[in-house]
Amino acid sequence: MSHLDSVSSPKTPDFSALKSWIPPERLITDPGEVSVYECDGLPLHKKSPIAVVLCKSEEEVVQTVKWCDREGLPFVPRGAGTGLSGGATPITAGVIIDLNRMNRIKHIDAENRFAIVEPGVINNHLSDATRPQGLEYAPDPSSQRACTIGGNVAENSGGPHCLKYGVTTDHVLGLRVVLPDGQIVQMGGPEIDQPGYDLTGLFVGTEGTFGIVTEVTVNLIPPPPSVRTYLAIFDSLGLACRMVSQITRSGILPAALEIMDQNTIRAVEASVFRAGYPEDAAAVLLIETHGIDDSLADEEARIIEFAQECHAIEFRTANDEKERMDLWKGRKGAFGAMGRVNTDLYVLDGVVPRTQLESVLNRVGEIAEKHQVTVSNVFHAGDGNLHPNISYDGRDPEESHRVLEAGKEILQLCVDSGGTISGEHGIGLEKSEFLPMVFSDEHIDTMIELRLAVDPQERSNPQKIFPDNRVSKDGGRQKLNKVPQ
Amino acid sequence: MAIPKSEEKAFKERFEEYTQTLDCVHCGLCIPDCPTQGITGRESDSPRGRIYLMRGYAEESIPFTPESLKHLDQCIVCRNCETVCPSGIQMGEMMETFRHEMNRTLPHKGWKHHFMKLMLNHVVPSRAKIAFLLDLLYYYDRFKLRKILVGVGSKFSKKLKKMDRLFPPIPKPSERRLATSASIPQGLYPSTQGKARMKVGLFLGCITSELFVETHRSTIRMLNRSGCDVYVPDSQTCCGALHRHGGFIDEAHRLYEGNVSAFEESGVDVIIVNAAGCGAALKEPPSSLPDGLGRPVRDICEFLEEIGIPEPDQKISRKVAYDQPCHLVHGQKVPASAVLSLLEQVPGLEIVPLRNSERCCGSGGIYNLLHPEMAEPILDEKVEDILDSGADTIVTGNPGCWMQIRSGLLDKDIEVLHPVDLLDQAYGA
Ligand SMILES: Cc1cc2nc3c(=O)[nH]c(=O)nc-3n(C[C@H](O)[C@H](O)[C@H](O)COP(=O)(O)OP(=O)(O)OC[C@H]3O[C@@H](n4cnc5c(N)ncnc54)[C@H](O)[C@@H]3O)c2cc1C
Ligand code: SF4
Ligand code: SF4
Repeated sequence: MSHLDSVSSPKTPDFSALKSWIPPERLITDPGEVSVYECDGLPLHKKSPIAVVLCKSEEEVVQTVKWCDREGLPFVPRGAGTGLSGGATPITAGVIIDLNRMNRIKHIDAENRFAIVEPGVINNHLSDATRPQGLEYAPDPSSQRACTIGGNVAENSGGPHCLKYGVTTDHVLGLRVVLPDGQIVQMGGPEIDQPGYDLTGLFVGTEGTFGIVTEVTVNLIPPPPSVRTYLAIFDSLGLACRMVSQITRSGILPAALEIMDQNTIRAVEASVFRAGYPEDAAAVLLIETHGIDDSLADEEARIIEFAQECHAIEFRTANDEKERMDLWKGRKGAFGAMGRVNTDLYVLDGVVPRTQLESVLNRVGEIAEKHQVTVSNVFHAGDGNLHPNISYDGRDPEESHRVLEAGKEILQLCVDSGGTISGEHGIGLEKSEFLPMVFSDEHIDTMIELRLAVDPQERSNPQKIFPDNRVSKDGGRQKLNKVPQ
Repeated sequence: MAIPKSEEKAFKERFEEYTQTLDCVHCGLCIPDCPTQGITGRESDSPRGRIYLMRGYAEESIPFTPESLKHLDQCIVCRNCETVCPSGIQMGEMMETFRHEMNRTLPHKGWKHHFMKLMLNHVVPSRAKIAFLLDLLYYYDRFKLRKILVGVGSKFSKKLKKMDRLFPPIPKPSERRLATSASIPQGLYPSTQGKARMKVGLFLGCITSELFVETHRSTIRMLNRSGCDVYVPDSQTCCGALHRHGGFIDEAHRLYEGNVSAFEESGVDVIIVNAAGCGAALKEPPSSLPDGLGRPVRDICEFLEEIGIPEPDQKISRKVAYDQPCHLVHGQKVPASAVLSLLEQVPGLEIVPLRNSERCCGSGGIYNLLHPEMAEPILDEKVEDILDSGADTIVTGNPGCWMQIRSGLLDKDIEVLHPVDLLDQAYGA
């Protein structure tokens, strides 16, 4: 099918009003060029938008949203497009409102430890800007060199160090939002505790379905006084998981606990990110602790003890920043290294209780075998957040189908083990069908009603989060009645 | 507007090399480091978007439109994306193949491209023609024609003035010619440290062979001081980098072969290049010549750092910042430390950090002439970073970058030098 088909869908909008104020270099309608917006970091689902508007200010966002409203068009907010659940994919065509040009850091208040930023600011750039003043923005998704604060807010993103510091919602103090009808609202603010409903908390993680974030007030924290990083190498994945349990049970709260399995290690060692892991290693565990020197030394002694008890075949300690980076190298390069295994990569995201890590991973291996797909695991072990990665050739529809089937079974497995279907990448398009695995119909309908209260026309990022056909003009509640018993 | 089906089909049949695009996993991590995306904010001006377009054209899932092609044309081939991509994409090679196929099926129609093609294929490969051209430019400058023409012309076109700023003063014809193997005793510039520890060959480049003759002289002196005999074969030719960027791969191969024979009998151990763009091109031979030039190719700073330089004896009181040429850091993967560790040996030199020193300045060979609307704002960012660094001297080891950065600093009190020119000043006669 040509992409032109979707472009000339039902009604061609009247762009003249839009063109009267947006310069041509920030409006994209060419059918070839809009195609590059047909997916985000998850190229499993694709649909071209009819137009992309690159907004530079809140005022422009309001104008664009109002224009969409008049034209009866849905819109999809987009940050950097690194999302892994299809959140920024314009599945009903419509208009992409791209926010990467709204990238100013408006204000840094070092004394009161907060910053006010536009949504297109890149996660890393924010910490780069505040570091000279001795402060950092804590949430550190592995995509932090590219992803935007607006996208982080929408996905409630986490990262390796969120084990200790919490996820995005724990660091967002206030938001300005353009609602789907073009109204501007301000929620929260620099003060830590706000009277009334915590609307900011409600908004974080809504994946673009509540309108467009145009300003974010974030909390800043001083970097840890000291950091220690270790790498334990095992000849069994189970032992690595056991060490994770021992550490967490002991009361030590590391800043990061990351595991890579054998497939991942092999992919890493075969790539430019070669980190020097032994060939026969079945798993490596990366441990990082933050705090003051005295307590870190004490924790170090205990961590070494646990490594011995769990029969680690090797234990490495970073003595300086360079060695620390070397230990992280394999972990940071893992995703790219797996990308080289085949032409496409499907990054799954699920959560299981920490105590179940070992048995769930064994089952994941069985599922992979059954569907004949290659799964490599690299995950935030400290909070039981799994990332099984499936390498495949997306040009083969049959293989793609098997990948989707395996993915679904793995998520069902997470749920059956007492976990859930998403740790940090959101539901988006990818997992909307799986929502009933973890929520009852009533629960889903309550969420739908909430969404419709904010966005009665389903204009903002439609067909995301909720299973197909559950959101309709006549409201979630009525729809619920039609769901077969 | 779409491109006729027949041309689209011809392109697809030929663009077999598109499988390289499959290395991209669409993660987006490269986007913030792409200078063109930084200017326009468009996905199609980012590495990920460009690869997606190339793949889409080849797989017939994306319509082949002039508007989308424009963004592939806008790639500077700075290769910053190669450095940051966790999946190891090879943008340089991909762009060369893509543009090559484009030239065969859908050649550009504008006068600029015709002019470029004429220059690349008929002037640049010949040292005699380059010398003649530079003579013309010299007299044009000398007799104030340049001032008059630019003065009048810029009343009609703002671009002319900006383009003129790029051109450095042209040395006198008599000072411009470096003696080569044909005209010096034994064809050698001998080591000044007694018996040479190595015999190295010097690569001159095309326009740079005459326009940057002073840098060649500094290079030779630095090599002689460090105990090397320097051989400069007369028959060498252009490196072909500009041809490759433009997709004129066949011509680039011919030039490479010319250089292979120029160095074949030279007996040199290493070939030294002082222009980052040429160095990258020579280090990456065409697949038909897997042995390349038959001996290692080294950037001058990379090489001097490897073999060590004698202790400098002159104090230089300057505040210097290093701007990394893309084709040195991203193309040849020579880290900033190679250059900085040489400069650190110069007494009196204060080295200050330069923010984004690994980011493109917008030169891109002749990109700044073909795409001034992109190159100018990219240069503006570079100038801002330079001014913030507080440096009074910028060093950068590539003629294109030298011209581009210099043009942005003409009305500032900041000098732009090749690192070897600065190093050379650190030694008494
Ligand atoms: C290599 C790699 C590693 C990753 N690692 C992690 C990780 O460790 N932890 C993690 O949590 N995620 C991770 N991710 C996923 C992804 O980076 C995050 O979800 C990130 O927050 C997305 O940001 P973005 O700017 O790219 O948003 P996009 O992908 O552009 O958008 C994501 C969603 O947010 C919405 N949105 C974007 N901007 C706004 C706005 N201003 N207002 C309202 N809605 C908006 C979009 O509509 C979409 O639904 C990773 C991704 C990759 C490719
Ligand atoms: S970083 Fe590499 S793999 Fe990721 S989008 Fe860019 S080119 Fe593709
Ligand atoms: S080569 Fe440079 S300009 Fe081209 S896509 Fe890569 S980073 Fe961007």
